[in-house]
Amino acid sequence: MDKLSALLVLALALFALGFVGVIIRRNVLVMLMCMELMLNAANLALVTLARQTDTTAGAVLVFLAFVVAAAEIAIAIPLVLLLVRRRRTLDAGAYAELKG
Amino acid sequence: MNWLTIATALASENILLLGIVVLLLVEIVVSRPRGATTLALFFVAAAACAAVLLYATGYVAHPFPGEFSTDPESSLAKSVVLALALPVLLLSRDDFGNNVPYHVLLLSSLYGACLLLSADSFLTVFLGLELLSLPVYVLVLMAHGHARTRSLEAALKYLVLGGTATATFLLAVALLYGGSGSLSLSSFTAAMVVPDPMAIAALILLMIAFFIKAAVVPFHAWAPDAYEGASVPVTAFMATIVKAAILLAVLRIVGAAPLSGTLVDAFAILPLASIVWGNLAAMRQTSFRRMIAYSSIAHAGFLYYALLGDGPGRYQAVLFYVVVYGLMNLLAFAGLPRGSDDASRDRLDRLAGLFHRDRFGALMIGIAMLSLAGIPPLPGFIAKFLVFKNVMAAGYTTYAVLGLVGSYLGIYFYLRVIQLMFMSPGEAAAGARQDRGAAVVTSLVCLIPVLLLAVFPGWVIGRV
Repeated sequence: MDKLSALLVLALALFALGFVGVIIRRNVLVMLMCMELMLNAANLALVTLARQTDTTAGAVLVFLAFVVAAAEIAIAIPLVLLLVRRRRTLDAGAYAELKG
Repeated sequence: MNWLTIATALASENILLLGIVVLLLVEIVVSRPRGATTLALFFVAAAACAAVLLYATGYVAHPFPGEFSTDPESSLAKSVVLALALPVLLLSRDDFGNNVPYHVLLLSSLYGACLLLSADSFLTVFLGLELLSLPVYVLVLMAHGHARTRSLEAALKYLVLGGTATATFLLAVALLYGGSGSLSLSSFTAAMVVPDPMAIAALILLMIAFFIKAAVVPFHAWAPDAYEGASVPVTAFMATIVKAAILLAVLRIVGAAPLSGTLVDAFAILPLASIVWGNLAAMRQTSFRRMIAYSSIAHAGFLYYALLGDGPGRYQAVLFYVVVYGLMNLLAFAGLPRGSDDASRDRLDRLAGLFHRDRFGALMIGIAMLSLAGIPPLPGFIAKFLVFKNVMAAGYTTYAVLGLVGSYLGIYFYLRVIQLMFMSPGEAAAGARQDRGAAVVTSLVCLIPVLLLAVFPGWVIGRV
């Protein structure tokens, strides 16, 4: 296996790890970290494939993905802060006012 | 680079951008800003007019070749989305009339929708998708008065699932890009005919991403929470504008090519599950907005169903459905009685005997419910008929029959609302009359096109 396909496999593994994390972990911060892991796995795949296909479009998209990920976290962290201030816990299971 | 082309081809986007800047300036300069809704209404109406003009003149341009293009199809889609935003803005006048950040976020989200509908490459689709959803996460948080815990929960759930969808979308794009070496939308249709595992994985991931964004079973879990946690105008925005923009974008990505290969079954089975489960789960809701959320899950199923048909019929069916469905939801939200806070406003049993207290509101909700259920003379029926006609014409008779059966499950809970409003006893309006000016205007803005669609469906369909 050459270097590029190894990187691609690594990206897919990281993505799967992040996905499983979002689903099974109940700590809100860990869920957000797993979400970021998924995003960065996609970035890694984009860069690897940009190298493989010898084009630049994928690498450009990575920069935009960085900006979006930063914006997303900038919204998420205040949300978590506000929730923790009210509930005194990071456990997503405790945030169960909405059900049905 | 020709500046004139950029100014004309991006007319709606530019007007929205101007609106955002003006609103921000107002927020900075004026110490206690008033009339933010009026300003926002003006800019959205101007943007919608620009889109209609571009459509009417058949304007075609490629200001950023390969990334962004304006053609009559995209102009029409933009004018639909922007026009649907006008009643939403009217609805928010009561709760957010002087709230400038609310309107800035709303306009940013609309900007994202416009970008999405003109996209030629996945890069632009990505930008548009994120610009559409990021402001909505914050809008969900903005409750009437101060932030409530349930709005916080709803916003966080929506954000985590939305972020997951974004990551899934990016990975799908990466895989498509690996196969074709370009980010253009045509790599999607190209991948559909290649029996390569990477292409198939990419298509499945892309489908999942859009299913999450449009809340299709089994990726629907965020919708009821987000719809219930948000305040009424924001729920209306999510149920109509966001859903319409996502579906029209999917339409643009899929293009006119017929669906083929292994993907077809997934494109039929999950929406079918969505129709059935959405209608079943809606039956046991006690909150109006949760019910609308499950109903919107079912309607997302119908909209994805429309993709099974081929080319022009598909475009017509989705566009007509989006307009009718959006207008109906807005009509229902405009008819909702006002409450002291959002939570009490939204309990279903508060609608009991509404007809005796507020005839106009009850009638509006009644029309909306009958039309959403697809009862014949109303446009909701025509929209469903168009979808199923196309699915049948494309040869998926089994799926069409199953979907039709699923849609009848929904009639129960729509009629339950009507029964609650009209057949329960209730005292006549007691005490002070509420000021319902904005609600009445909103209802009329929605009702007139609905009546037009009900009386002249053929004329409207012939135009698109």
